[in-house]
Amino acid sequence: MSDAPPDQGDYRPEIATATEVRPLTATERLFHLILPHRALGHLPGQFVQVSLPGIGEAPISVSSSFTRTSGFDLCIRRTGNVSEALHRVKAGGRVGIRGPFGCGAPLEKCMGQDVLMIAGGLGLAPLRSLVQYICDYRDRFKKVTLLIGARTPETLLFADEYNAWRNEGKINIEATVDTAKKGWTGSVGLITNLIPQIEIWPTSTVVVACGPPIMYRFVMRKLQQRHIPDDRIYLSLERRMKCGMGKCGHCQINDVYVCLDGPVFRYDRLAALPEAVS
Amino acid sequence: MKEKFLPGERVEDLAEYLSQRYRLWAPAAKEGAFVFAQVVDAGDISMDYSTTLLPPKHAFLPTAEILASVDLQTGEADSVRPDDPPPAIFGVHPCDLNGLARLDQAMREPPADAAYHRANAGAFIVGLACLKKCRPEAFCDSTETFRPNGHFDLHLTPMEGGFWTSVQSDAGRALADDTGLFEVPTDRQRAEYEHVRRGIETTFAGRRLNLKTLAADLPKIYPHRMWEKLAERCFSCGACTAVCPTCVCFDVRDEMSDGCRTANRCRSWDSCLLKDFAVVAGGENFRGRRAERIRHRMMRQGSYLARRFGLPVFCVGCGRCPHVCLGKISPLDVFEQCQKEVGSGVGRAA
Repeated sequence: MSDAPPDQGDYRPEIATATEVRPLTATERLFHLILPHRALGHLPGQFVQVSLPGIGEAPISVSSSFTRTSGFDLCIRRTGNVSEALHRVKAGGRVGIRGPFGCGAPLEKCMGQDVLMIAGGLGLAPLRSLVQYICDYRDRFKKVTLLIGARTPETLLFADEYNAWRNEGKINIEATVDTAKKGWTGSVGLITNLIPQIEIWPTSTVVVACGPPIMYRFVMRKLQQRHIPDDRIYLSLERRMKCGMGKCGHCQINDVYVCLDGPVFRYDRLAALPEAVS
Repeated sequence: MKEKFLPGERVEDLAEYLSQRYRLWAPAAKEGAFVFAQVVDAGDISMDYSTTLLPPKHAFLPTAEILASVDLQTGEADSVRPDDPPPAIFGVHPCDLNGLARLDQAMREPPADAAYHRANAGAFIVGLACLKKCRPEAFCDSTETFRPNGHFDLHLTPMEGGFWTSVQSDAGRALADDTGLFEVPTDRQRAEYEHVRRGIETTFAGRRLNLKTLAADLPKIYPHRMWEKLAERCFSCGACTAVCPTCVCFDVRDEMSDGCRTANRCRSWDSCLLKDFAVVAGGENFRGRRAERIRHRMMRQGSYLARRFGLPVFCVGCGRCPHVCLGKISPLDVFEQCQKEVGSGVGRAA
């Protein structure tokens, strides 16, 4: 039994403690986790492999910035065996962590630029780490816009944090839902409808988008109509993952491994990867 | 490289020596075919085998293994450190030597797979030259993997009275000195070995691929109707990847054991041909069509991994996959058709 953190490339998880667990929606929960011997040391956009002994492991993007606390947040949707079991973990419970993996969001490229973040559904979970980072280093960025799309107002993630992001972070936030009942005062419709309405300077804006594949197909069209160059657009891609070290083959897109080279990819690089956003 | 001569009657002694120090795997006859089996009796080894059903990959990357364990009472996680001696593989043909070299490259590329590294530190490999082609489906001549290419400790070339032995590594040199089984080759033996070596070059002189351009050619026919045609013959069964020396994809699962006192993280072989290989938790399948999956395997073998590791081709031409494929799909035919299409400029059609 060793207390040392796993060697690079090991399958042994570190045991983290969930110090706080709170439901965000009917299907998503936010876990605040602390590792015993170290800070996670992640960048916005990176992910970890989170596991429960004997149940399994799942790749989950980190939802908080390293600038916030010694721990980190994971927003987990109940969608498979592992996430189902993770939803039963209460405050004080323990989970296995490997990582962080992958390369994160393009922080340096965003600095001194306008930043446009586009989050579809669960896509806000990884982008929240970038939002927090931007709030904490606000003077490093120019105009910052966050577009959020969800199915209904009830499924909007982190809605209680939007005011702080708006006021303290000086982030322009536009949220839209596919369908709404009475009482919703925001936009109704697809997230793509928001893109033509916002002010964009194509050559001084960096776009970071996270959402389902179908969102990318339509968002890309709208962004290209706004003349944003492909090398200023970054997409975060989801794939099945097992090892996190470019070995198991599950996350491979053509000749790249999402776990090593992603999950955030510059769009012009994806042109050579026809499997990426088909 | 040092050179020795191993008299034919001493080959069993060599295997015996290895079996006392390593977990020894060697070719053995089984139910009318050959397999790499863990050898108990050196007399069971078949030195004149044609080719095995499975490559020796499983000696280094077992079909199923435990990577790490968590003690559920203490919550402590630990990596499994096998107490077993390291593996040795005896009598590996050049296609499989090249396969083991590629497996090693893939698993040791940073970040190196720690479990693979731990299990195989100090492994010992004895190669065995092929004097003739083992089966019609083999195309090690076209992939130029009929030569051993250095990934061995000792390499034996059959010749009159015994085996010419090329000594590649320090471990090989130490073994040769320690066992006293090897002789200093005579000039006549050296001349005969040269004759045998030239004979191998002549026997495997056929080339149906241009290895200089193959890795660059394949992506050019990424959109092509040939993949749909191939998919009509592919059952998506994954037999090709199971018998492949260079297919290294795997699954990792967590399981309870020891009456739920221990949780094990287990690795087992997987296949990119299987339908669910790229399915994510939400249900989206990123390679849901059979044509996409068969194309992915051919691209990996002919282009993606070749370019990643600086090789002309990742496939080693052992011929096992066309041999077991119900649809008789051969990478050689696919690669050859690709080069024909690229050469004739037909490859643009989607």
